[in-house]
Amino acid sequence: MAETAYWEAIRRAHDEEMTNDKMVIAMGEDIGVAGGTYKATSGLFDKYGPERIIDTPISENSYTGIGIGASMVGMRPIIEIMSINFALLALDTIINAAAKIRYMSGGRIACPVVIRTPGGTAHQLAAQHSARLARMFMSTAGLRVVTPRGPVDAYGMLKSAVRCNDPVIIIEHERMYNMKEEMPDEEFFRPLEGAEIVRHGTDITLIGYNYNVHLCLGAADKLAKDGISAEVLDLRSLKPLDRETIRRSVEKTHRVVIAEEDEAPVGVGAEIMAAINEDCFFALDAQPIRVHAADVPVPYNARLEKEAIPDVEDVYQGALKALGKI
Amino acid sequence: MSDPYIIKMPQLSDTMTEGTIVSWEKNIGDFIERGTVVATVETDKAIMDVEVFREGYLSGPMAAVDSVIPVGDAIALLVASESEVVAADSAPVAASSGATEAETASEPAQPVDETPDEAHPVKMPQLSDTMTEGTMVTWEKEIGDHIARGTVVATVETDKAVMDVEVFREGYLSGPMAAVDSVIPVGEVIAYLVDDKSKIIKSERTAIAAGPKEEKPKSEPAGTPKAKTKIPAMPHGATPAPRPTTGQATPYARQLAGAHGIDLSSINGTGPGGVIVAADVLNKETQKTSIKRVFQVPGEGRPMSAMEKAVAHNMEYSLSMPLFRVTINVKPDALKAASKQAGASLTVAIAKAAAMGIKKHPSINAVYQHEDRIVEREQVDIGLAVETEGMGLVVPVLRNAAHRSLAELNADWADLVDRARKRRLKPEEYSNPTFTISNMGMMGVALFDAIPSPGTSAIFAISTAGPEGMPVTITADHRIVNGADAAKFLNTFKELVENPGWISGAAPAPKAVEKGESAIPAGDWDYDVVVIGGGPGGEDCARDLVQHGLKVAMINDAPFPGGECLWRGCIPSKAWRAGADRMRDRAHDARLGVKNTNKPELNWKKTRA
Repeated sequence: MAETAYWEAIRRAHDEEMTNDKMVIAMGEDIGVAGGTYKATSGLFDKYGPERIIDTPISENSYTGIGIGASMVGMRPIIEIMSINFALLALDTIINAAAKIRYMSGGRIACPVVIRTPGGTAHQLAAQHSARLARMFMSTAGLRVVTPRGPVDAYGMLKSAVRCNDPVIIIEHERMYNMKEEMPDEEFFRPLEGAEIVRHGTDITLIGYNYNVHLCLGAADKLAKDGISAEVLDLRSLKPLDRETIRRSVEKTHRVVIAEEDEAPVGVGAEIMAAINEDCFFALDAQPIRVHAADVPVPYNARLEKEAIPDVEDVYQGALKALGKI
Repeated sequence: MSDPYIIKMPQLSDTMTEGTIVSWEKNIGDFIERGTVVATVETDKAIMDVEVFREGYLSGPMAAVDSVIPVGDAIALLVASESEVVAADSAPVAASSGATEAETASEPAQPVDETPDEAHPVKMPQLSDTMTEGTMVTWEKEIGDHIARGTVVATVETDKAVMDVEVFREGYLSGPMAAVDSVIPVGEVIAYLVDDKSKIIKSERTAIAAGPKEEKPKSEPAGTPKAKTKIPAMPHGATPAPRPTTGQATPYARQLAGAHGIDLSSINGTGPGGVIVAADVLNKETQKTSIKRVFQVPGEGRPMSAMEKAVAHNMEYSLSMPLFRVTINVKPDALKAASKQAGASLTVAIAKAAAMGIKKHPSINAVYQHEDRIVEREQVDIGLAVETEGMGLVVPVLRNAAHRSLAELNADWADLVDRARKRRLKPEEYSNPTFTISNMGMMGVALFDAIPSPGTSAIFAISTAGPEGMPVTITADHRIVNGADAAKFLNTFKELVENPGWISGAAPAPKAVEKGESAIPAGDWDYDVVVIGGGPGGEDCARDLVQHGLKVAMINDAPFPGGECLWRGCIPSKAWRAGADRMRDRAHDARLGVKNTNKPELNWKKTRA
């Protein structure tokens, strides 16, 4: 067991998988000589050379497309897109090629590509570098979308993703790269599906994914001081979605708050609410509450940015509302 | 000096997990005779007495009035002599509502089991909706074993089945460990996980006593209502009560009201904006519940197993049903032969026949709902009582038995029975039948009748076949089913059993084409397949079929195949766009040093061809 940072966990997964399988390569802007904007591939360029750690030009559509194409003929590329905002340029190749080729080819062509990208607001990166597009990938059939909440999942899910024959989008978060967690020294894998109850409780369910699981945990601590026992559920995988675990938790607590960093319309929270309505409507003892970003482009101004993005207090207030206390 | 007897918080209702001390009826030092009421407690349903069935002197440490104590935890002690009596507040048995953290810390609790350092408690999980406690069946791992995430460390018996206890954390298993056969309330510690071998404690608890409570708030915050209404598990399958005539109710309040037969219009809501919430329904239910008077049987009873309890309580409900019985003799030989030929079990064939009969007499499938309502049900779900060897009764359910094929039902059944015998069924596989069959044909019984389970109106009791045939007795709820209904249903059932033509003639479910088997029915056809439409889809399809040796006719609305795509859609558009791009490029050729290309002309005719 060693305390490992999120970026170190990703780096370790790259290293182990590249040693394990020569077909595993990494591509992205500044990932080679510079070691990656978030250090996720640091040192690997020296170890594996320019043929396997490929520095690409600032041309997301092209290199994502090259990686996706390479995966169709047997490579296992791990593509880093520096920010999920830039993934918009590569959407055609992700949505039209990666997500659909298995179906378009009648099952003959697989696309075992992994696309890693931080998707969240960091700190004053302004609207065009603060998008959180999880909902867009979540709504695309043919993709897997996972959101590791900490180093253990970041490592174990990346390793599973490399070996998975489907295209996997891993959404990380700028604010988590330095987060640390105890991690076993021996190799392990984490499943790409299935939600996880990270804290058990009986009075209310707080649902989160990615960074906002930590907001839920913070809110649960606050609620515990009020004598309220909150259950925290990490979705882990947005696609496929583990509706069964959500249902069981809601049937236990009868109240639910969903935390998402994105704006609310047609979002992750909307989808979870729909699932709850369809699966366990009559278990609800209060209206489900979404805690989400303000419906505005994320402001650059630090104070406005803080206001626009949910924090622990917002999740706590959402829970009090669901509990009928405000 | 003998060990004091611990007076524990009793479990006074099915759903009770903790109780609030309302009053102490006896004082410290009082001599207590067997059968004396020493205290009253408030449960999730009512205020009830705590009786003691042993004599002695009441002694502290004593749980304070208004404190909330989990079921099974100590509330006071009984000692053998007056000299051993200790004061009420000598050492708190459980953190009472008034106690501050400082007090608790300065006065260490009763000598209880030691707890390893920096340990993560492994708790009794809630493995079913209705589970409040579990019995330790086995330990799959031993103290000191290294546990990986996701390892099954123990199995426990719930009220429904034997299930695994998984641990989602890594470490070494450590004591104090709950003993096999001990009954542990949900949420109580059964063992510990430590991250270091040196911290392992090798001890076993013989019984769960007043152990330290983890993660229980030590003190209730000011302003918290002292008797918190405990919300019970989800009552699956109940029909939600209608909305109240005025105001609103939450979906869960409606579900609970439906399950308890409560009229929402008679309740005042206390939720936001006067909405009726689950707690309001439960308070109403509490008012309705009176304390049950019971006949106390002499002798030393043994506690019922969870499954025995569930059966006993279910059967008690049937007392509210006005039951009657009708018997018919059925000749089972034809059905026996037909089901054997079809490779299905006779039990399943009987279930299917009953389900088909119920479709013709739907009142059998309806059920009485409190108060004065009928729930009519479309789908027939047949529960079949199965005796699990030495472990009581389970009733796996064959869903939609009227409309699914015998083969499908048979496959389901084989799987269900197998797992029922091992008690590995999931709750949804044994809950909410709409009709039940109890078959004791193989047990040589002349005639018997059965009791419908809650949520159904009727049950079949099938006895051993004699010269007159096989006696089939229906026991039915007369509020829903008339004698004539029952008789007509029995006759339909008899007809179906004695003339099992429906088995071979039953509409086969659409099945996938097997390998090597043709999907084309035999006959004299001009073409094997006709493809309508000659676009890229139709054309490729027809070509593929021909390549597989079939004779294909393609019908198209144009002289040549290609369709919209080739003649009018994307393909010509892209060709024209490509042409346009090239012409645009010509304008820039000169700048790039390309000469004599600056007068492009479009040959429209050529482009279209």
